[in-house]
Amino acid sequence: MKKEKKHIILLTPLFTYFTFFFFAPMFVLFIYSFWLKTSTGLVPTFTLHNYLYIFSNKLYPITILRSIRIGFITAIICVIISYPVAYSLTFKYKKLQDLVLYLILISLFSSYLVRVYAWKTILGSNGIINQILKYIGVIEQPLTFLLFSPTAIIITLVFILTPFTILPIFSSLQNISVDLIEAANDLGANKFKTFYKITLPLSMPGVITGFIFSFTISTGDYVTPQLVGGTEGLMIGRIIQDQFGMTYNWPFGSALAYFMIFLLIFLINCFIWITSILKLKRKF
Amino acid sequence: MTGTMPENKSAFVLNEICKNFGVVTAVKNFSLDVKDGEFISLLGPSGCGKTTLLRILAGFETPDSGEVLLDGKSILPLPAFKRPMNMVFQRYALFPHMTVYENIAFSQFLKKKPREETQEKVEKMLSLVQLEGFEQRKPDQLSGGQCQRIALARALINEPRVLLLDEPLGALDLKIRKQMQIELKNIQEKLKITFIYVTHDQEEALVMSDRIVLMKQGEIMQVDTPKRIYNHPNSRFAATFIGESNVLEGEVAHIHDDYLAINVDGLQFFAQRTAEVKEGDKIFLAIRLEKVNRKDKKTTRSFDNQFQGKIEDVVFFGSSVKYYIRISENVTIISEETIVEEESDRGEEKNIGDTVAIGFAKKDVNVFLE
Amino acid sequence: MHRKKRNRFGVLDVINIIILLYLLFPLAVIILYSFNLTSSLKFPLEGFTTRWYKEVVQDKSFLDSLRYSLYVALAVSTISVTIGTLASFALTRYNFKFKNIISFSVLIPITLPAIILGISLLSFFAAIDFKRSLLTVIFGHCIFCIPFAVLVMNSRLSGFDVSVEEAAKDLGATTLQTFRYVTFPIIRPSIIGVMMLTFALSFDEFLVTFFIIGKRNTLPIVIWGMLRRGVSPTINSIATMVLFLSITLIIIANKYAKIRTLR
Repeated sequence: MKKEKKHIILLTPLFTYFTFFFFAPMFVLFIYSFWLKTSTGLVPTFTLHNYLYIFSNKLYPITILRSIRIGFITAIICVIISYPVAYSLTFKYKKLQDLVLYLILISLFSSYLVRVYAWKTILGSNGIINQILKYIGVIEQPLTFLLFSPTAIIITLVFILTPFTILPIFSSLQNISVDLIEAANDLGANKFKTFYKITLPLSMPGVITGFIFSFTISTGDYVTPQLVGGTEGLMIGRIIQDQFGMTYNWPFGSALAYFMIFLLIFLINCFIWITSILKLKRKF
Repeated sequence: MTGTMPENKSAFVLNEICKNFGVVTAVKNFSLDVKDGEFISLLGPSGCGKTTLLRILAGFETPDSGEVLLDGKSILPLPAFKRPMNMVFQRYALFPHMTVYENIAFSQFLKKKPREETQEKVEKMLSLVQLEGFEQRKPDQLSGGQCQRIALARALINEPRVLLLDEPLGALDLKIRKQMQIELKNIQEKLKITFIYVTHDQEEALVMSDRIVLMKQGEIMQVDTPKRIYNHPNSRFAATFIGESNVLEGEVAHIHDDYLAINVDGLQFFAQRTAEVKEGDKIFLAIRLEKVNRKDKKTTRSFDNQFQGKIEDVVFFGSSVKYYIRISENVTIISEETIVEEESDRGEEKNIGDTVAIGFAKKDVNVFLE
Repeated sequence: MHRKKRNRFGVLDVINIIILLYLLFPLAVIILYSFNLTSSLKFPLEGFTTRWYKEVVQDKSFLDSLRYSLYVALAVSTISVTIGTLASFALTRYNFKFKNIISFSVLIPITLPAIILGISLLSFFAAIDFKRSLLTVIFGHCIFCIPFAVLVMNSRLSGFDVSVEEAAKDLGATTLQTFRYVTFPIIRPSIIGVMMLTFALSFDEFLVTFFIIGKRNTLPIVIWGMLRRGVSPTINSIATMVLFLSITLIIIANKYAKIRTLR
């Protein structure tokens, strides 16, 4: 009957669009990963050569591991510093909520590229941090590890991603009914116990969402490593970008991309599995 | 509050309506004749199907089978916006982004009525619900009772044949609710519109209705005037859902011409023959609390049923008091009486532990098989 | 009884201030150095000038790319809001088979790194021999803007009291009239919010755009080119202008359509 099928009509535009501009492209990319790049061009075939090639050279696995490490550390730090802010926004700054939220989100209103670039100027040997440290006499020589290193990438990515991580945590904290907290207090739990046993567990969905989000984005970023990563901070995104750029080896790039996708899915599932085990443990 | 019912032929006929939601039966074989200008209540506990039925009439649900006829013609093929009935929703459903005036005028606006005519009608409606001057207010500036009256005005401006009301007073405070009950009844009698009123509050139904349709689990249990349904419930459910009754279980001892003798825990009760029973049948008895008379020194009357018992509890209700009287090991009868004058003034206080005699007529004892 | 807890300044506040400074400090740097006389990074500034701003607003490639970014962002937000809102109605008002899978698959594009979206679209357009242009950029941006639109509209529509729509129908409104006079006015603030969100996401987008851009550049692409060429305060002045323009738009929109926090 017409009434029951209405939802199909409403979803058709979205799924048509997705089919053309998401599912099809992802499929094409997948197909490419089995093709070969030869001196004459792309050869349509079916081979696992590209996937195996990932392991032929130490460079690729090392870069992949480094990317995952950087992504993981970034995500952890993001979540850790986002939580106090989200918590205060929900429970402490009720009146100033809108204003503080805007302050947090305001950095998103400026260009992403320029924000990354700003850290390049801040962290450099001539940058503000080194100038200040020199000025107050803490150091003689500028700290070089601040720029063109994985550290720089992490500092920059955390800066970029924290506003995004605050939002889901804030959202799930807001959904915790005040009644629950008052009930806990009423039953004798002090502030810390209430937080540990009620607030934290109930906000975990937001925390996990924030973590997954920042982990995925930072692992795959290719701009930040290029601007502030230097040679030590080579990440897999850069290599993939190259395959579609100068190196012009699309099949290999596709294989790397899909390898990363499967790896990310696997890691995220592990992460979710681990958090659910930890949650169970905490009940006892 | 019972209006005299004009002898109209049925304006509105519901025939064998059935509605299922998956495996859940919401309405089963619902049939009813509604007369023009009648105030009918659909009364029952949550989940009895009354709201579903109302929504079927409004056009928001389609019945699986059955017919709804208005003046002999089926209205089921008509979509909601074409039906000559209007609905007052439980949570008012006022348009939050429109003023009171725009809310009430909405139906006229859709019909492209001229502005002067609409304005006149809106003012008439506002004075009907006693909210003159509220035209420019917004719903979030109104109290619950005011919202409900605006919702009513919005529905009535259309001059519908039938007004459907879905527990409209449910969200209001008790005092306001009682006030609105009277106001609604007055408006209905004045405009002579057929009201179909859904509620789970039996007192409300008794106060306002010309007839009550008692429902349980999708089926009609009893259809009657408030007085009849109260004094002659046809089931244990009716006896306990509407008003309060003492419900006892017993066995038919002997069938007489116009009354029954029933054994209850060793005692013998006399009841009307309101059910088809044979000797030995297990049956239920229901006696209204206020029909149980506490015999005192002044009572000269004798009753068909008379028992002696011990007062186990006395509960004070303001204008009335309930006595819990144990007349046998397994039988406690509750007697409710209105306080006419302080007993202490009469020197006849009855306390817990005192022995007391009670009596009630056999016509006040209803029996049911289930 | 509610005991009013006095909001004492404690450890939590110190932490928040530090974090807030961390988030805002680079912005201050950008703004500050946009007025610097030279392109040196020395602090304090060598001098104050607005010449970089003057340079930027006269630069043709900047102005063109600004225009193109605006076109794209406008198109993207319109398309995303429309498709996303329709889908959101389907997801919040109906129950049907596979609803969970469908809800999930709507969000997949934003769970992947942007580079993956970029290269897949590049491959696709190459495979069907479709020339890259601003149009392909629009197509690409919508892919990750639509999920955001769905997310925001979902949270708005799931709290929507459907009985006002039934009331409208009961009073004689057709489905179309109900949408026009009742539903749309009520959800309009959220629609505007989503349009602004997707506009901003598209306007600033680089990671995906890089792969699917054609001859005409968007602003982020131009900025990228400037970054590769070397240090210049014009970059800072562009960023500062974008920042203040965005803030102004938000303030205006806030006054016009009450934007509430995520609730």
